[in-house]
Amino acid sequence: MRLTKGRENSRALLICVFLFLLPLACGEKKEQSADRSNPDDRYGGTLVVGGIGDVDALNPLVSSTRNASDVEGMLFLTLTEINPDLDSYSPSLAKSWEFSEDHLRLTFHLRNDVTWTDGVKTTAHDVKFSFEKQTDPLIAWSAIRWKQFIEDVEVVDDTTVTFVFKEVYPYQLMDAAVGYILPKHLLEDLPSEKWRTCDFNRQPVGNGPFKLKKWISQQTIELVANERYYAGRPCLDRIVFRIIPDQTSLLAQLKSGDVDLMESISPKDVASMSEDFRMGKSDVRIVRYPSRAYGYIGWNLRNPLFGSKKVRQALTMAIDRENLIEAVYFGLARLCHSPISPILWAYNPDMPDFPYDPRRAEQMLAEEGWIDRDRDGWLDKDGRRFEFTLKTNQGNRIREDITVIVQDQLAKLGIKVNPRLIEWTVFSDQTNRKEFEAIVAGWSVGLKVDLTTIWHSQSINDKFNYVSYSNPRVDALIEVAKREMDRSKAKLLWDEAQSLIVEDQPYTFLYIPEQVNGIHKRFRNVQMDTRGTFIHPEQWWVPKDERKY
Amino acid sequence: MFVMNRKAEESKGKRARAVWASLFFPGTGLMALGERRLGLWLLIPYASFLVFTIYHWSSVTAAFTTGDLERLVAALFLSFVLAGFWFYSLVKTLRWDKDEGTGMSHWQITKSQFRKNKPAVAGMLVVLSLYAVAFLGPFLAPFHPNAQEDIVRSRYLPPLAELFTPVVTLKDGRRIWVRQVREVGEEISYVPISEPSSGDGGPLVPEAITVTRDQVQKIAKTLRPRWWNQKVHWLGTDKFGRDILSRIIYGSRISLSIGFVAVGIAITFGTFVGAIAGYYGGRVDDVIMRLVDMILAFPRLFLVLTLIALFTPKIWLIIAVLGATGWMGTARLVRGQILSLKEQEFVQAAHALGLSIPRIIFRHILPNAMAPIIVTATLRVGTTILVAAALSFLGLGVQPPTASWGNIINQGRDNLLGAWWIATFPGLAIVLTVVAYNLFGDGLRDALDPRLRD
Amino acid sequence: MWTYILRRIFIAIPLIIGLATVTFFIIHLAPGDPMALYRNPEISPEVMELMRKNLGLDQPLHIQYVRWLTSMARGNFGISFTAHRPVADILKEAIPNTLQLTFLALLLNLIAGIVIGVIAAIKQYSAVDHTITVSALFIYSMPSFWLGLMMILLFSLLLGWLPASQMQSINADLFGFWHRLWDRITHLIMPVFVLGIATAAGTARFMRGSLLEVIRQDYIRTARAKGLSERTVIFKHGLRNALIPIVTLTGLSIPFLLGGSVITETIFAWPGMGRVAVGAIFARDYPVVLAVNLIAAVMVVLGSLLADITYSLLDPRIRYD
Repeated sequence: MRLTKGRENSRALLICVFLFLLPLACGEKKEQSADRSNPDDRYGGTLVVGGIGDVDALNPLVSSTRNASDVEGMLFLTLTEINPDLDSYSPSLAKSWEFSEDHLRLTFHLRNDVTWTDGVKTTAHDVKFSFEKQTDPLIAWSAIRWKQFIEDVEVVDDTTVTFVFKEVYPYQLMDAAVGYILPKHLLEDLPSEKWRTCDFNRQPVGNGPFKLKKWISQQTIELVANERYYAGRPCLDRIVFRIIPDQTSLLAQLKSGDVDLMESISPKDVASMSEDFRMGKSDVRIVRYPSRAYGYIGWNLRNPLFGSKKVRQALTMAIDRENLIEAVYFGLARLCHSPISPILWAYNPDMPDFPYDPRRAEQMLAEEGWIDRDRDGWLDKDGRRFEFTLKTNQGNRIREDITVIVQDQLAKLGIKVNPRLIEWTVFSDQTNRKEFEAIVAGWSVGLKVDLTTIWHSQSINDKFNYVSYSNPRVDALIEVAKREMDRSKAKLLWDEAQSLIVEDQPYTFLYIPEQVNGIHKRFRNVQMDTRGTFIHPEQWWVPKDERKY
Repeated sequence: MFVMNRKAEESKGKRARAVWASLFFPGTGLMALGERRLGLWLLIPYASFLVFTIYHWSSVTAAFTTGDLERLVAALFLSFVLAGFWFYSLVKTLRWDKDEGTGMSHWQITKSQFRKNKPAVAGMLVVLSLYAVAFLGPFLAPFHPNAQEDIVRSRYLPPLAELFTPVVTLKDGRRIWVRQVREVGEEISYVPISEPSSGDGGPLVPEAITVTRDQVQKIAKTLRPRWWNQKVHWLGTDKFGRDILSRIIYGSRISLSIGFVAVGIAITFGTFVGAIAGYYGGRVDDVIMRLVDMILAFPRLFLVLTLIALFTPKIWLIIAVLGATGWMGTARLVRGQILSLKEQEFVQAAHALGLSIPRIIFRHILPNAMAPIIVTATLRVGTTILVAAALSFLGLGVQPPTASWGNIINQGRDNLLGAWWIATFPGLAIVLTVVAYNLFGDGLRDALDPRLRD
Repeated sequence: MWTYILRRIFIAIPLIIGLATVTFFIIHLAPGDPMALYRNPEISPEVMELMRKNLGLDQPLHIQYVRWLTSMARGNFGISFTAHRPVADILKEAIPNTLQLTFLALLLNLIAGIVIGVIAAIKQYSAVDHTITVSALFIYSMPSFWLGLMMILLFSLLLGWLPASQMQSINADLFGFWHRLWDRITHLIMPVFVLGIATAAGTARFMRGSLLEVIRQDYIRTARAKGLSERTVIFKHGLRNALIPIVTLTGLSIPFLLGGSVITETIFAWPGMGRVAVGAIFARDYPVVLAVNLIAAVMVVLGSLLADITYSLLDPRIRYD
């Protein structure tokens, strides 16, 4: 899970944490669809991807921008890759894998035909090396805690490697497989403290379907097909990432055809673009799918204003969330109710609900003592006015807009909200230190069902429980549920934990946005879903007569 | 003798009538006495402010009873302006014949010189009206600047749009604001929406109601506002459905006050530093002027940006930083002035009288160096407003939802093609203000600078 | 001459060091920790300490200052916190782009300013003069960011004539030389115009005044009396002398242009120093902020030095030694 900064502005987010790094775009070339006439016709063509922010480094252990992970997915391989059901795995660098009797040892059998682009073979030693670096505190990989239950990695032979676990739990395979494998022969002599600045970050050597050809900072990153790719070279000749730091001009270039693919089109433009495509006025196809993120308002429970459950419930009921979603997402999002995403198996559809009801909210606030006694238009209690600062990160227009709308909606009930936009690095620092009253923020949900890092009371001090939520029953449920190997039993436990959290409303859950990408229609066999934009870019192809470059 | 007496008698009677006229209609007395122009200049603004006050009478009086500070300030401003005009005109009428024969003082030459410069007078009038608008914002703005109506319907309305919100009367007599969701035959479904902050909608009910179109039309007719009270979005709305005109009016307060106060600080500080450097000379002068050179060698925007971004933006910080980075020019100017005045006889005389040095600087030298200082100050306000707007545009201004011209333009950037009005009008407001200040400043310079005087 | 230049440079050095010092302390005294960028619940306090040590942030401020100053002197600007690259590399990419933009804007400023100013002066008090004066006033009073947006709205979004942002088209690398040149020109038009036009308006105003003043001088009267054509009088005798103060003005406009590049580059997404500066300031990327401020100061100092030298070359009455 990862604190998201939002899409529109993704400069350095070192601080932001990938609890889950989705293995992107890698793996075997699947059977081609039947419509294909001459296989050779598919090879060639260029894809131009437009992105807002530059990439900081092309080394998965140190990079922290969203664009970087898109590119890294094309350069490096992971052991396995996740299936569209978000719950099972297909082979990638590993052909197959099996657990030992006691379920504490997981052995991967690697392919022996994978080579790094410099010609050296990818072996089990690279896997062990990668694990060592992933867990090196000096490198401080952002997803380091995914490896916390792995005791050791043993190389059996060049193509066999065994992960030894400290305990048995449902997500052992996911934890072992997460993270890209890096070339040991190029990096083993590099001291840990030099990782963030080494040359490899700008001249990576990988084993994925594409390789880096050229990188001009703030302008372009050019990838070309990797001829040595184990599953055969990708269809496309080139993938060019163009950095266009302004949303408006990026969209203009997508429409004009200068850019072929743009991620996260702003919601206000989507309806007209879909319509244009349908009418044949535009070549840009809109692809929509549920994202893994959700947005919320977090109430700092250490603040006396938000100490009472009833007040928090009233706040949620005072905000017209449906209207808010319509206003900022133009309907391209759904109401969020739970800390667990509805795309995951553990989601509980049957939970307490706090629909928009300002009159009831007013009543509940009055019951808690919040009444406008001095007739100044704002509620007060014990001489204190109901007034707080609502912080969010600057540059994310949607969240900025939410603060303004919430400010107006709560003002109608006599609650004074002062929106405050703060630069990302400062915002996340203040959030970490719990220096806030309320925040508008978001989480990018991992595919692993685990409420520990955000909701367990042990996570208050050093993890992501920024709002200091503490409920002993929830703690206990989490402890049991995350080790429960039986799905149906685990489901019941997660259901109860979710209900308790929702009842307490430490967050006002706001929305689950849709991911909306636009891609030029000449690209065929394009797959994009909740797993990511670039799932198998090596399989995308362009008919010969439609190629532009 | 007799003739003269009668003349004096006559003029006395004339003046008595004029005073009476001035008591009731400021300016008219002066007009009767032959001071047509001055009389008109007093009468027209007085009359317009008076009409304004009468028109807004209920809100003006209400401003004194409710705790709304903004309205109170506006109402006080209105009272002061009216009282000021009244008083000035009365005094002028009373002393009508006293001014004569004193000859043209320096100040009067400047005044007549300035009056001849039509663009400068226009500039001054625009500047004054802008401040009046800023002060009277709460009475002038047709909407509350932060009031969001039903966002989904009221956002991105083009200029001159009028938003009609249907109101439905429930069985128990309550009236609520609604939004149409679908229309099937004669049946129209509505959902209740949040009440507009400035509206008179009744309490909210959260469930949808269905009424027939006839009913809505009937209700709509009865609720059609009177024409003079019609709420039109003259300059359109932004993405939250907030009225752009109202936001520009309220935003003017930020821009104008930042410009004025920051320049005030810069000029005061610059004068002080320049005076010290110029008067003492030598080592002190060297050190101060090196410092001035150093800060001048810096692209101002870089420095301002660094300071404000690092210490989270607040309005007083912006004013302080703009003030602290704008004093160098004045310091140079004042130093030069002082250097040339220092050697003059009246300063020597003051020395001989044993006056203290601060007294000599501030009472004797500075007043003589005032003219160029006032001119630079006026011209500076324009550039300072531009810098403040640029900061606001970069997101380093006042925090939302408070409006400033820069941040409205910045928001307009999101949807430049679809909603051009958001970015266009506040920009025009900035241009108008800065042009007015520049014209005013140029006119002042021409009037004050003896070199250009024929 | 050379001694003068050397002396000027010698004077400029403490000035620049002073500036750098001021920025250094402002940045380090500002609330907010540079390590905030790395703070992360996943990283243990010990590792944070270690990283702090690696960055030299564990030392007292004056030691940090001395260290920073010495490494600056050696041309080492440090490593960017956000881009994980040497600051020098970042600047090496950005500075040429900014220079390209500011140089052309300066050119526009001079050419347009002088031509328009001369026209206004020759046709003093005519309709042309008034039009020029009024438009100069308006242009001078326009916020550049707004002018930029309005131009984008008109020329890119409505008419589609010019690209709205960036330095070049997506596939510029594939174009032939002439195509690429044309492509670059179309990308330059709006930013250069927005950056240069305000100073050009100022220059024109100044030029008009300067030329009018020169024309009143005795030697012009003499030239006219000699029976020289009006053309010769204005261009050979008047203009040459009227141009001299313009040089100083140009020197003074350099900080203005550099400051303006911040706004222009932000609006047109021009990959130059201004944009690097804004990004770094917002992200609290201290090494970059310090370096950019320093470079800007050096450029300003060099610019004014250059202006003074040109001045002395143009005006034979001035001799430096």
